[in-house]
Amino acid sequence: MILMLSAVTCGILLGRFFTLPVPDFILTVLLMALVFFVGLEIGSEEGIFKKIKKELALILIQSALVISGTLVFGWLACLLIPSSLFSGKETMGAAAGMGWYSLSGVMISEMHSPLLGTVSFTANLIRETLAILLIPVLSRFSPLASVSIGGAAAMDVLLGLISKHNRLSVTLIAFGQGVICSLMVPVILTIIFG
Amino acid sequence: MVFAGILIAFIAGLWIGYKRRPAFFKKYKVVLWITLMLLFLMGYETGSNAELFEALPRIGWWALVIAVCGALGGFCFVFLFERVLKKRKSL
Repeated sequence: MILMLSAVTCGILLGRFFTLPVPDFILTVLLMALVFFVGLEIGSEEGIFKKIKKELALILIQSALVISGTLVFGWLACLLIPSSLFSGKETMGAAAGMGWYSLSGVMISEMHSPLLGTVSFTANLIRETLAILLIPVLSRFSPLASVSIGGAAAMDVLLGLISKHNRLSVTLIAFGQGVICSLMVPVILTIIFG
Repeated sequence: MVFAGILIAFIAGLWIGYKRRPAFFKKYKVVLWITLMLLFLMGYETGSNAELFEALPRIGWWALVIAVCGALGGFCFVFLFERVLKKRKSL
């Protein structure tokens, strides 16, 4: 996380004080490469489909609830922000990264506007931080709901934390939720901003 | 066009990963390096846009509102579902 924040900070500082010859297509090429390699990573996970099959029904319901809850409340966020700044569609799109800050930030910058892309990046970074802080506390009262905060990041960065504080079945559901949310983030963003 | 390309790239990666299980990208942390380059470029675009740069201090608050709302939405929906699930199991 520190490395990623440093990359953004270095970029901001360099952009502020220097002008680099950056071709327009480079962002698109890198974005496609990122999505390709993430797909490769998910696909090559040992026994991933068997793991998911075991808890499939719960994984699907959990993922659907996480996605719909995020989108509905993400849309409601526009009511708390001055209305001239962002529409409901824009706040919903910014929330739709579900913790995958690198992809959502870049995709929204490319598809909609750099301002909303930066807001989405920061919002999803905050969501991942919230998950790190809240999962250990909330998993005692409501394991599945605590896992929902992780969104798409539940399959990677947060998985160790989730397994430490939950039963194996909850960890598997969290992993499945992360996979499905990760699969859905590019699709949802394309539907919202495409 | 770009968006169709993104989806095709993802499905292609998923399919090749499932069929061939390549390991080189994990060894060289390809995903991490590409992510860092993308984030750097995203930061660069923000920094080189003077109008956008001035708006940055406000962005933190909007982002916090969106993050809390998004996380709370998923939490509430799953929390209610979990209650129903527990009640059914206890019957």
